[in-house]
Amino acid sequence: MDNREFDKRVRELMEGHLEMPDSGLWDSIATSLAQRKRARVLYMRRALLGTAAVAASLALIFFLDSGESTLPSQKAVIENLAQEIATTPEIAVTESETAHSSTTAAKAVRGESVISSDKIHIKDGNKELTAQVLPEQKGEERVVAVHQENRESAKETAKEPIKVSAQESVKEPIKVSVQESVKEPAKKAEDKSYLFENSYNRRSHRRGSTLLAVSTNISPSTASNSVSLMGLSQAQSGYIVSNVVSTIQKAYVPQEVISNTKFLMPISLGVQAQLPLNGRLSVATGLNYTLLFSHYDAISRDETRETQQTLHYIGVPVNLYYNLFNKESLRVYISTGVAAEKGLYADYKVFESGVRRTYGQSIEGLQWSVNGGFGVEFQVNNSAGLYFDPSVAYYFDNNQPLSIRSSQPLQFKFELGFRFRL
Amino acid sequence: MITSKREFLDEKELLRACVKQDPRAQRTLYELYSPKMLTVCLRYVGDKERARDILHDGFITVFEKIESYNGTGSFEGWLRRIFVNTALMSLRKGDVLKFSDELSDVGRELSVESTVLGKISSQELMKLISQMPAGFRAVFNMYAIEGYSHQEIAKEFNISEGSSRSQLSRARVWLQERLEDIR
Repeated sequence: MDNREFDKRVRELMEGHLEMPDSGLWDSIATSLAQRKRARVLYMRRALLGTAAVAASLALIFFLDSGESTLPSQKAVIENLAQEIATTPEIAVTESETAHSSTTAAKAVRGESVISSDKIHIKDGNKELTAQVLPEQKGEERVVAVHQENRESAKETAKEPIKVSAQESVKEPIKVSVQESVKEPAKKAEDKSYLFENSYNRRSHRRGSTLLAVSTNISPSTASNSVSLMGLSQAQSGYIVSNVVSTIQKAYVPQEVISNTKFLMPISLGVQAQLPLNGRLSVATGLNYTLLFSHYDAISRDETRETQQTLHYIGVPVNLYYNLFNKESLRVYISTGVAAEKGLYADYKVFESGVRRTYGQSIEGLQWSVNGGFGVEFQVNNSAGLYFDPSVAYYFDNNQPLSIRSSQPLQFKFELGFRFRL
Repeated sequence: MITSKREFLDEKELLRACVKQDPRAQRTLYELYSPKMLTVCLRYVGDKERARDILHDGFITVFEKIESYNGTGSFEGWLRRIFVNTALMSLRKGDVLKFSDELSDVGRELSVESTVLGKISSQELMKLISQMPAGFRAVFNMYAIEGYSHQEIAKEFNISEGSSRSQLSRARVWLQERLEDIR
């Protein structure tokens, strides 16, 4: 027999041969398919939530930051000087600006402040002020020409002459010299804070400012029967299902069933307001929404049942923060606190022989926990800071539905969020 | 028990339902093809437990990639290719594929009698193939049973075509010797 003939005979024999797979293999494949599908859904859901959170945070930062300039501009200088001059009794009126003032009078009458590149028009009661930086003296010595007129005078110049004492005595524009002020050391800081007040206060972590925090929180589990950080890997340990399934499930799960239990990372979203008590100490409270995910695979001789449990909690944490370090853009602190969480709803999805059923029940009682940790906050702009708070929390046994918290009461938490200064 | 695909009018309808991830269609497809595909897996890996794992992984791949079957060529051929690839991947992972150097007796014709293969059952032949060294088995399966060319096999295992021919020749000799023993 030649090689070709030999191969042909072997092929024919093998084509007619069938190996029968064992009966449990399809269940195993169906379970894997369902898990992968849910993992994809979960991944998509998390990705969407994460994207939404980042987008919302960026939008909020942009919103809070818009319209604020941290650098003093020439316009700001003019505005500040004009405001100062408006409060001084001596006011000069320049002849050259008289004509111009009448053109801007209409705007002034409407109560507007009009700023051009080198001029500012301010309406103050019945008075209208026009300030201008003189072009030949824009260096260190800033010269401002200020023009004042009554509103009535803008409307009815002919009827009543302007009654300003300085008008007669001062024909030349008043010279307000910034240079002179800077020369005096005692005034230096005062002027600086005068010009940069907003930016200075916002750049540092103000001790007296109230903070609003938006955060997300994950708690990777180290329990032997939990799921890894990335999701849905198979846990190996076996559990008697009656030990791990809640009352509502016990009605549907036979007693002698062996089950795998898997816990996913808890996820929290929250808002928190932080109020200063003194220079270093602050107290914070807010609202947290937490989701706890668990999977129970019940495998009996005849069937495979998979239960997906989602617990919804809303909680009120109260935390104390103590600043260890607080510099220009970095703050390091420690924190401790207590939290009370109310279970809103326990949601069960049961997959049995390819059929999905959904059940639910309310959760009684409160879940109490204590926590402690430290945190770092980096200020990303004038009004917002990105913070990271690793902490350890202990969850007390308060007769809550079984979850990662009952399996592993001591949990590491990683909180990441933005704090906004109000 | 294998159920027929009567629930679905034809293969196209069954595949369309599988694309929509209909669990009934998936199960029907599994029941139709799992015995054949388990045989393929077992021929490559030679171990029932491992073959079962490959069948599991292969069907997961099938149901996740079924959209990519464009209808050209037989569906069974497409399916078989997935299981062969999954089995080969598993063999590569386990580093069990050992390929010897080229031999000089590549063109040697077998001396086995034509009646010998007619006397043994498919079960006995499967058992013999399962016992082959992994490298022989892989090349023998691909060339003699699946119909791959030496060029394709060489590319698949990153070996020379000469090595592929050598492995095939040695596999045939190995099998012939076992068949002689049975006789």
